[in-house]
Amino acid sequence: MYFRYMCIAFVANGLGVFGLRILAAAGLANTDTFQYLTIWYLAGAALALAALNTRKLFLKEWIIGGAMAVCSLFGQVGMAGALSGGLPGYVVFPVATGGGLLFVVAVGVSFFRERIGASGYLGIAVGTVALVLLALPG
Amino acid sequence: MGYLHLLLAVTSLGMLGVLHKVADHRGCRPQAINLLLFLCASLLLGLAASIRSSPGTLLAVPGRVLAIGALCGMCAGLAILNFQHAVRFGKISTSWLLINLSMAVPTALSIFIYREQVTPKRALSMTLTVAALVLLWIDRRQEER
Repeated sequence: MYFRYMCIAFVANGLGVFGLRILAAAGLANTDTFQYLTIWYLAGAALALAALNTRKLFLKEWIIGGAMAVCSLFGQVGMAGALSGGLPGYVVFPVATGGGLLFVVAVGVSFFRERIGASGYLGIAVGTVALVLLALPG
Repeated sequence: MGYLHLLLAVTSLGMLGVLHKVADHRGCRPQAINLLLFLCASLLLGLAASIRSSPGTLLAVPGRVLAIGALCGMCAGLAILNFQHAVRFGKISTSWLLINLSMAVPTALSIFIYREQVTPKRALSMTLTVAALVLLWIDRRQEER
């Protein structure tokens, strides 16, 4: 089950961010990012609403879901602020991507007591380097 | 100030991954988390967009932008929904890396569809992505045995 879910998540997540490239190719690169992202998030919410088989939402789901939304937006705001604060893109994008990833690994291992084998650690190291390279501008 | 913003970005993006596992630990339903994540984010963004320009700007979006945004947003919704289900069976430390590595998909599509140049940096990062996926797959197989 894990592989099936992760395969769908992998491909769908990649397609989800491809929209910005389609916009650029269609000559719509000057579209307001806020407008585009609002539509993007609303469409995701519509899909989630269709998948939800009950209308009852618990308080813990409101708190955690809301906190995730704030984290998602603060991540973007933080990167934009760092860029406008004078830090170059070749520092901001790799550090934000790689740093966020290592943060999750550290919490997963120390707080959730996740056991990772040698190939897992090697995969994390290789994957982090791949992501940092992908995030480097130019 | 730039470094403080960068610290905010790193901790926020990291916490986003951690909260996926927290939601699973607290017994939250993936569909509900998915709905509230996207709904709250769209409300906050809609508010920001209205403050930046006028409240009516959201209604004045070109049709093509609306279509692309809706389609890609649904893909993202599908991704997070499946990711939330997957986290129940797997580790957040490796699953979060996998979802981040999906950035290789738009890179590969840009190369194949838009004939973007395959620079040495891109070629290396794509090769390392495949290597990381294989290593994580081996790790998972070893764990299942």
